[in-house]
Amino acid sequence: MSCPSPIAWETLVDWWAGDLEEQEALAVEEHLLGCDLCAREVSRVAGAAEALRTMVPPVVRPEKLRSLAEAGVRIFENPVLPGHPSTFHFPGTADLVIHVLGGLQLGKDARVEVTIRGENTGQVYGQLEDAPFDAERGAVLVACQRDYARFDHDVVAEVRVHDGPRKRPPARYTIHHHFD
Amino acid sequence: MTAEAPDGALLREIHRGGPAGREAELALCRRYGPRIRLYGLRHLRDEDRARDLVQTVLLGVLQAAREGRVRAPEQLVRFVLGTCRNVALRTRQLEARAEPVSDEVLAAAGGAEAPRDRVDAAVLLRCLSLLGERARRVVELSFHEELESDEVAARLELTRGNVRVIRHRALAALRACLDAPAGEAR
Repeated sequence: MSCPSPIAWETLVDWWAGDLEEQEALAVEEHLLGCDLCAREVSRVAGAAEALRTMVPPVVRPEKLRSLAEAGVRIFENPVLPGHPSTFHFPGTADLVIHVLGGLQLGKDARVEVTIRGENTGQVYGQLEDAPFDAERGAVLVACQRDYARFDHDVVAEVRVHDGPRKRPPARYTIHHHFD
Repeated sequence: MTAEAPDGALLREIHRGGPAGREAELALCRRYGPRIRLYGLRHLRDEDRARDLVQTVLLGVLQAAREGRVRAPEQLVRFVLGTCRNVALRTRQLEARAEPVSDEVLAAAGGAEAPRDRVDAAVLLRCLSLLGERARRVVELSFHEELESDEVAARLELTRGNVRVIRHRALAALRACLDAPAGEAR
């Protein structure tokens, strides 16, 4: 398997992202359909890009949650309040769990920082400087998946709200997970 | 007829028909199915629709090859591309699934399916956390929120050229991390 003129990674990424001019995109497509080597390489681009497209981000928007539910994803919500450690059993019937980190005052223009780390290891699993939130519910929606069983089961989420000049202390949520 | 036979030999056998022709059809489906699926994913952004596209395009290609309408290898790639474009366009216009095809082609295309890349959510999260904040935002906005480069650039106050360079590097780093054996991606 060889190719006399392999397509560069950069071009493949641009093609996948829809960033090539039409004629160049057509030439790339013709090459990819006829070349096993380059088709394999673009499948590596596609694998990473598709994983990103279909992922459930660590902090989700309310609209995303609704669209997942409409698509048939079985979602279980776990309300958590700051300063009250929560013990949580991941239900066998759930595809996705949403930890609803509540008790927050969130104006529409607020900026929310979220850090999620292992309580015992300190390892950071997610850090967002401008995280989405649910203003109506006064909550940040943190997604938890069964695959996360490989992480530290005891997790701390720290939420800092920037809304106007007043500085507020961060809200800390501790969740102790149990996976079957 | 081996799976490595060149396209021209496969086309000749398919046109002749018989058991060797059937074998050549399978080889052609196995060769082109994964490539067509990638085309479908790129243009339709949906795994099921991409698989429908594979079946519809392969049906058209096999029919053309059986009837001898496609004989030269260079004609084959153009024929596949043209059919992909037409079917993808029609699929987008109708926003509906392609018509189901015959059991025979389904069976032939069955061997052509590339395995889905099932990426562990924990591995993906860990790999994303290894990217810098800006690189992570660029790939998330580009591939998760599916914004165009200009929109990503405006959102992050970068130039379009910056976005592309960051995206190339970030996706390569992410791919390397996803490919690393468990525990090595740190």
